[in-house]
Amino acid sequence: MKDTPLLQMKRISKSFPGVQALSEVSFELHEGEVVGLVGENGAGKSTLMKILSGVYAPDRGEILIDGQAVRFSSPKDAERAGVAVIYQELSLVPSVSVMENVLMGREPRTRWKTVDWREMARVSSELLTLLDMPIDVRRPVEEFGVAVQQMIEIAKALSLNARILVMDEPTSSLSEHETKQLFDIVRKLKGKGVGVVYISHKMEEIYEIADRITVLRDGQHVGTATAEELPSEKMIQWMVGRKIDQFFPSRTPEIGEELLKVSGLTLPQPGMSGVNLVNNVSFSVHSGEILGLAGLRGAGNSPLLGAIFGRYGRRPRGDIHIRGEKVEITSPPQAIAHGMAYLTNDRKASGLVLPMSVLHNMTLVSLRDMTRFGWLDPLVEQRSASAYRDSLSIRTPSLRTEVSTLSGGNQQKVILAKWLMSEPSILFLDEPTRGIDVGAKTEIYSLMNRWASEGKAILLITSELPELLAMSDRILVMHRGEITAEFSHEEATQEKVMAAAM
Amino acid sequence: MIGAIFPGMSGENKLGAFFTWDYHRDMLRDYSIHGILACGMTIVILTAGIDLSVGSLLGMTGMFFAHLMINLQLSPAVGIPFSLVAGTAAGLLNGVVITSFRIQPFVATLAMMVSARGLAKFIGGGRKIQAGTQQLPAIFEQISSQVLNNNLAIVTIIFLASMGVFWLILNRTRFGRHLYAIGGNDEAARLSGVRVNLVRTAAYGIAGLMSAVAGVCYAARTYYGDPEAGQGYELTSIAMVVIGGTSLIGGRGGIFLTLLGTLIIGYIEKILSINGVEIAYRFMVEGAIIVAAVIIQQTGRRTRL
Amino acid sequence: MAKLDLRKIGYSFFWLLALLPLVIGTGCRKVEEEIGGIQIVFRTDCQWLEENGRREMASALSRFDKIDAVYGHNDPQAHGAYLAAKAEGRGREKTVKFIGIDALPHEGVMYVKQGVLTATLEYPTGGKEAIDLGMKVLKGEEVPKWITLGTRLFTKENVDKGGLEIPAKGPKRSGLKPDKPRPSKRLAETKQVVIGMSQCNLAEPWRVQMNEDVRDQAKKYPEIKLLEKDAQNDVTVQQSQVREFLTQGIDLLIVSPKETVPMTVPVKEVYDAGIPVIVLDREIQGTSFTCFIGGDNVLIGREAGKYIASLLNGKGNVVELQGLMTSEPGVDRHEGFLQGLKDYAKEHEAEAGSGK
Repeated sequence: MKDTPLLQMKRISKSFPGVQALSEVSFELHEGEVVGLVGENGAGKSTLMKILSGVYAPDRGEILIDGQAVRFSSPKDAERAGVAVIYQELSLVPSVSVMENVLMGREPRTRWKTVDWREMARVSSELLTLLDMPIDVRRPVEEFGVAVQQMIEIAKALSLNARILVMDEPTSSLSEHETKQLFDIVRKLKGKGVGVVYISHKMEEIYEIADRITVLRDGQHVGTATAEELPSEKMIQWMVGRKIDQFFPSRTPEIGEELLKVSGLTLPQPGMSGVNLVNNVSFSVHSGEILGLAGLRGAGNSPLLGAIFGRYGRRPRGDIHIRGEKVEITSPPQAIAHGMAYLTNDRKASGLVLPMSVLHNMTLVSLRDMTRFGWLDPLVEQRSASAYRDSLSIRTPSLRTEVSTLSGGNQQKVILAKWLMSEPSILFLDEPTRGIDVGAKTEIYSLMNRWASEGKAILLITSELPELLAMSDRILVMHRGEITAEFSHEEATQEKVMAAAM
Repeated sequence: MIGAIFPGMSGENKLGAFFTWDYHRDMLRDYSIHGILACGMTIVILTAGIDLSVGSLLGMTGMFFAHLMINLQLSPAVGIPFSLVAGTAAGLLNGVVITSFRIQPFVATLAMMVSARGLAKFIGGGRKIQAGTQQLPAIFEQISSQVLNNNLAIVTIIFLASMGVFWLILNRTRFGRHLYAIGGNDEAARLSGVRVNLVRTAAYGIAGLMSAVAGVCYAARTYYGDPEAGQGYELTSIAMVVIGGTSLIGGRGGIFLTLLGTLIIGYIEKILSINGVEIAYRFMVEGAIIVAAVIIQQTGRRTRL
Repeated sequence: MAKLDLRKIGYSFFWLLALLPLVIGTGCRKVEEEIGGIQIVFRTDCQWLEENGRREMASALSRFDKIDAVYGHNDPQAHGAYLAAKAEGRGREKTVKFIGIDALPHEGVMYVKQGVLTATLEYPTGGKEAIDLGMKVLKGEEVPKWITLGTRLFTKENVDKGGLEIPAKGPKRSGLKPDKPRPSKRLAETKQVVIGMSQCNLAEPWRVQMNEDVRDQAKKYPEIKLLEKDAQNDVTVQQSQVREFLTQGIDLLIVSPKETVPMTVPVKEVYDAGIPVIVLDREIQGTSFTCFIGGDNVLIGREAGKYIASLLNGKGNVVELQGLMTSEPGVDRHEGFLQGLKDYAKEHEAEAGSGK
């Protein structure tokens, strides 16, 4: 190890409208070193790496490579300086051959300025042999599995003479054997003097591969330590260690009859046989109960709700009972008929119809109740919508306003109003407070308490642990599609939940 | 006054034809058929789709109608429903292909456009179907006639009535609301209990039905079935919908805007035609005005947001 | 949602301002052309389409109270004009004279029989003549290299008698030497000949008629076996179809070319292989063909002009609905029409002069 670090990021700050994503974060990486970068969702890991790879420009702070200050105005600049990033979503072109993917944009040329295919095949297969991946480079990428594709990405990075390699959750779709293979290669790269930034939610992996660990929380650098000096309990404390705020309203739960019972639910991942997004999950939820579903990204809790709601059609297997009766749900209308409501975790993509008015978004699910002899009655529609606007205190200039012009919190309340109008008994809330301000959050918490006390059952997913701990009467923790732990409200702590989720 | 400046103009209307009702009646009559197609096109475009087959379906159903009425000498009570059913069936086929095989509307309806044109030619053996020296069925005359002392064409009444019906469908039924929801965000609509595929298929079926209505009107207006009828009408009707301000991305717009678009295109062509403007200039002026109209629509929207 | 936003509607019709000069100017334009006592009050390009003829005629009708005759460059346009007059509802379809061109049996001639068109002038397909001439060539008779066909004027009175023949004034290209007679051996030996017919586009009714004429006439000769090919309006397809005929082994080629220049070489190949070629309607370059048969659009236009002028006694308002004016037939039918009107005016002057 040389004295001058390969990479230094000093006091980096970055803010987006309404959010301080990073404040004064420093980060260091030496030649031939693997640094694990950890933190909760939204802690700022991705933002930091996007600044390193030139996607974002930092508001303040500087980046030094080999002690030299650099300034990236585009990902191309970063690439030239030897920074390569392998994202979770692979960025290969599936229908194009391996060698073209590896050398895309930098194809070797013959004297006649045409592409030198032979040279291209030679260079790319050499790179892949280096990674113990002797595959036919002339075949299209889509013919290979995800693990091989990952290697192709790495080969691509190597062909760029990358000295700093960022790997963002590289093992999320790999089997254990493939993961092992990947680690061998990471160690090989290490030996060649490449510095690797390794981002993962999986603690075992971090401890297996990382020399040092840097923890981020809420956009701030909590600390950096060598792997030996940072036992996992301490790391988790660093990751979640914030006070539970007092803004969660209290409630005494009155648990009633069992409303929904799920047994043996399995949701296969499309296009990948043998891999299940949700694997043999069984649980039940009662009237008046808020059931929290904890889990890191990709744990399978979001697909679980979708699968129960019929979002994936006939794909899920397993039994669903509602009020003790076995039901068949293969489409959302059936779920709605059984009294379910589903607030998805992406309100723009699957929650709101953005070009429609507030009124029309609110009444979309329950239009049937607003028709008389087959014709919609605008007066009835208007009346019930304004009732819900008042009870949820949705702030909008008028019910005719286009919903896209509202703030995030009010948009979220419009979706809630839409579902409440259908008078559901089981509410699925996936990230109900994502991206909305603190005031609106508190309002939504009170609403959730009110609905629970009215006898509805609520399934809650949220990536904010304090929120989950405070709101849930019971918490199920999921990991890789399976339920790994169950805690009551009293016994649940951040550390326990985090340990079960990793 | 104009007459005073240009006296003795070989029997020309002194005031200028623009100021006579006949002029506006003719414009409405001439563009009613396009307008009827544009009604169906509006709901397809609202679902973020497109239907390129309406012109060909117009030709096909027109031929079908002429075949039933002139060649087979059937009663209009049989001929009209059968023609409408034929158009609707073709439209539904479009919808089924698009929804169940997940083929892009552009491609699916393009295929229908080509094959319906072929079927139109097949029905008449490549020729027009006309009465010749035998008696033309009275229904042709009836549909192409004008009422209210010759001041309003039947086709215009059909057009305006369709507009009314479509306004009701879009604003006063669940189906109409579902069309908007699908165009605005089909995943959100699906999760809100909208049967997306069913509604989408129905939208194409209705577009087919309106093509058939237009086809019957066209055949009646020309007194024959023409296998080449309606060529390019799909583009005119799309232009009418879009100029009105209905968004091609879907979810935004309405039938009233389509009426506006129909009038805009109708008046442009009529004004240019009555002045005998040369064909080359006409195309240029039309293109420029269409672009200008769309720009005005866009800026209107931007200030609203 | 469609809300009644008055400002937006105002915006939408903003463009009317741009057209304001035209709106006010409606009815203020000069007469297009005046020849003798005939005024062409309205003239516009209808691109051969009935629909356009109808629309333009509606415009003309609302501009002019007095229209005496309509000259359509083809029958569908004239028919469209008739329908426009009928739709106007002032009974003008009965007073205005409608004259068209082409006289296809299923179109113009039928309209004349129905009393829709006052007259139509035939644009001959040459199909019948091609077979007759072809058989002469195969039998070893000498035929002229260039034949320009006349026309026939169909009116209500003479339509059942096959119209009034108007002969052409000699071939358009003269001074070409006829080919040496080359009688067909196969015809002499086996009493069998194969004739290939290459049509450039069977989507046009007039060309459908041409093929039908060829077919009907061929039925009259029991020794003919007719092969037809349709190039579907694609010149490269027609090139290869002509060459296919060559390999198929035909005794005579009848070709109606899509375009002059690209078809010259394939036709020459067939001709040089010793197979006589009869070219219909559109010319090819050079002299590598046995015989060209075609109509004369200038003649037809002139006859139409003379007929209309005499119908109106040399005085009146005429609407001219032109065919596609970037095509040769459109230009010829227009030029001929003006000549015809001038001819009539001159004759009339001379008559008036001699009358004094």
